[in-house]
Amino acid sequence: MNAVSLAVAAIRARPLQSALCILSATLGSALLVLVFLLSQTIASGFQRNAEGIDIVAGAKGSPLQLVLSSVYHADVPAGNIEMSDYLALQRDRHVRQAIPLALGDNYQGWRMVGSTPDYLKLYQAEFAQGQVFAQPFEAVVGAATGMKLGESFAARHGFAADSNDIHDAAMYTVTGVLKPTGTVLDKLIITSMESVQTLHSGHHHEDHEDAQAEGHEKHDDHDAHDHDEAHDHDAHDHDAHDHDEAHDHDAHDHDEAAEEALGHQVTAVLIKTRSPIDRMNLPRQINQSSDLLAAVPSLEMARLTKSLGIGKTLILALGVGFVVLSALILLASLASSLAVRRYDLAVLRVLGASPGKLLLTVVAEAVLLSGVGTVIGLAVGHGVGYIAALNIDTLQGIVLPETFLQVHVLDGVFLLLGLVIGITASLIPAISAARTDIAGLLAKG
Amino acid sequence: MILASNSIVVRRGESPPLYLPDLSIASGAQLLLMGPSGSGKTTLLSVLAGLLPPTEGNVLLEQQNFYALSSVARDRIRGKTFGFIFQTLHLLPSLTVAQNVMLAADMAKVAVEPGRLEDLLAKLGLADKADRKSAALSQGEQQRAAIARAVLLRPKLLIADEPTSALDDANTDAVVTLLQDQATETGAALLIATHDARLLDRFDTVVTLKTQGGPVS
Ligand SMILES: Nc1ncnc2c1ncn2[C@@H]1O[C@H](COP(=O)(O)OP(=O)(O)OP(=O)(O)O)[C@@H](O)[C@H]1O
Ligand SMILES: [Mg+2]
Repeated sequence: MNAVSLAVAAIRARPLQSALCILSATLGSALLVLVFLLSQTIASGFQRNAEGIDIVAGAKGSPLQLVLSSVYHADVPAGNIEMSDYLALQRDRHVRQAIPLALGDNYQGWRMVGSTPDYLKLYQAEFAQGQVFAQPFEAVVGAATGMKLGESFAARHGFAADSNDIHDAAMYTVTGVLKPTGTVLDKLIITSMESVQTLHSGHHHEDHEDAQAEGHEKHDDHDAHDHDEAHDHDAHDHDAHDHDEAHDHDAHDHDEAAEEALGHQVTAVLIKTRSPIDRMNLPRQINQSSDLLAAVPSLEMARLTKSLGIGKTLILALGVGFVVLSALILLASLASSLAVRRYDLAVLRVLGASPGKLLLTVVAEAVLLSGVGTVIGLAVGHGVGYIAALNIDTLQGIVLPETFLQVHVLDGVFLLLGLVIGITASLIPAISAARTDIAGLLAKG
Repeated sequence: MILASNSIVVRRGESPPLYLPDLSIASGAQLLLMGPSGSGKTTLLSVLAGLLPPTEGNVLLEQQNFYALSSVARDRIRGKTFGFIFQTLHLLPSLTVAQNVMLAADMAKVAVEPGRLEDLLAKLGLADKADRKSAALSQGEQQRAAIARAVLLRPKLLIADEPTSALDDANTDAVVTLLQDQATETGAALLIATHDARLLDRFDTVVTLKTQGGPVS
């Protein structure tokens, strides 16, 4: 029986109190490690997704919305910009690279991005199967979509899977499947900008023919298509593009205009500047001299993280509260158990144990309880983070679930912290155990 | 002489000073320390065992001044040289009988020869109880386990404080016999402190303590 096995015996002798000590330490450390891991992986996820994107240019609106919609694919874009604006940006001598994005369609909720192969390079994407899109209506799918090479599908207009406006004029074919990148790319379907534009310019005409071929019952419950026949010819006429007045389905008008506009517009442009100075100056230049809005992803995300920080602080405070509570429970538990075990300790002294050994026994008990609690808590924190990263949609593509399965420096820090707190809480009971007046106890019988 | 005390006086707090008798215990001797409650028996045993530095006087353990040693050194020597039996049997309830007995070796950091534990438990009728939690034993079994722990390391001194005050005549006899036999068997000197007059005729040497006043022998 050394100090540790004596401590183990003491712990097992009071299962309920010991479990309470462990549980409170578990809760505290789980909360703390979860919050720290989440905020760290989210921050690095934000950064990973915006790697190589100095500036985003898009339609006027809120800068955060522009960044969220075009970099993180988490919000709906405010509008589109003219193709000529994109071409002008591409020619700008401050711009090293300008990648166009045409957004607005999805397949089963996976957003479709019309762009160039440069967009894939931005994320250093590698192909698990197949290759990059070359012909119109070829598409490359992200790892999370679960789509298969060779699969053919029709895009839906909008950003949600429940849109009933199906572009079934042309079917896409999957020509490439990407390896996971841990970025938002995993959740996207990427095709050429021309594919998206062709689809939208030909929307009314060809969709209609196709729908008719499928038969009328199906066509009838397709509200979106009800009036298509009325302006078949308009769809071909992009340049004189004011068919808004041509029909009176108001609710549909705007949507349709936006939808068709994609035929000759892009949604946003991801810009890499030539120099750091350009990165600082270009946004102002764009905002002042054009109808475009330019936003800097790192600035917008920093601002967003700051506002999310309040929530983080709250949960952290809760975690710290649990840690303090666990220290108090440990202290109370040790003190009460020592009051009961006073005589046991006296016996150990009489049997030849030094006061230091008694001190060690009590400290060992605290270290075991807080250590076990902290280790369980760390495991729980990692596990909850992993499950959250797997299951919470908004975290996907931003947070890599696997990072939660790896041991982190923070684990070491928290374990050390847990042990230090355990030792601190045990010091007073331990010292009082070491100082037990043996002769006085024996005299009391 | 294995143990001797000279002119021990203990002053603690508000209590009047205790003047404790001079003892000298020869190796293998058996001695009874008689005195009424409060006369200082337990206090004297604590002083002899190195647990309570006396205000005056000294203790000689094998001709060495015990209190000239550091308290840690006294702890170590106590573990190896003394075997203790308390009035209320202090086995650790969370440990098994075997673990409780082995505590004597563990705390004194002394190895025990193989078979010693088993032999001892068998001799004291505890062979089949070795792996039971000590809390699950009867009073008598607990007392025997405490005696086993006290003699495990074959100490030079076996000291018992009121080992019989809660027992009936038959059990008192049995326990005193067990203690005397174990002491003889391990070659230990035996010192029993008690106010139990039933023990008087079992010992040749009796030292008496009075309630107050000066030293008595
Ligand atoms: N820690 C202490 N501080 C002050 N006085 C004490 C302390 N312990 C005991 N005393 C006093 O010392 C005296 C002797 O006590 P002790 O326990 O040695 O007597 P005892 O002979 O063992 O009695 P009993 O037969 O009841 O066990 C008593 O008057 C007691 O009140
Ligand atoms: Mg006493």
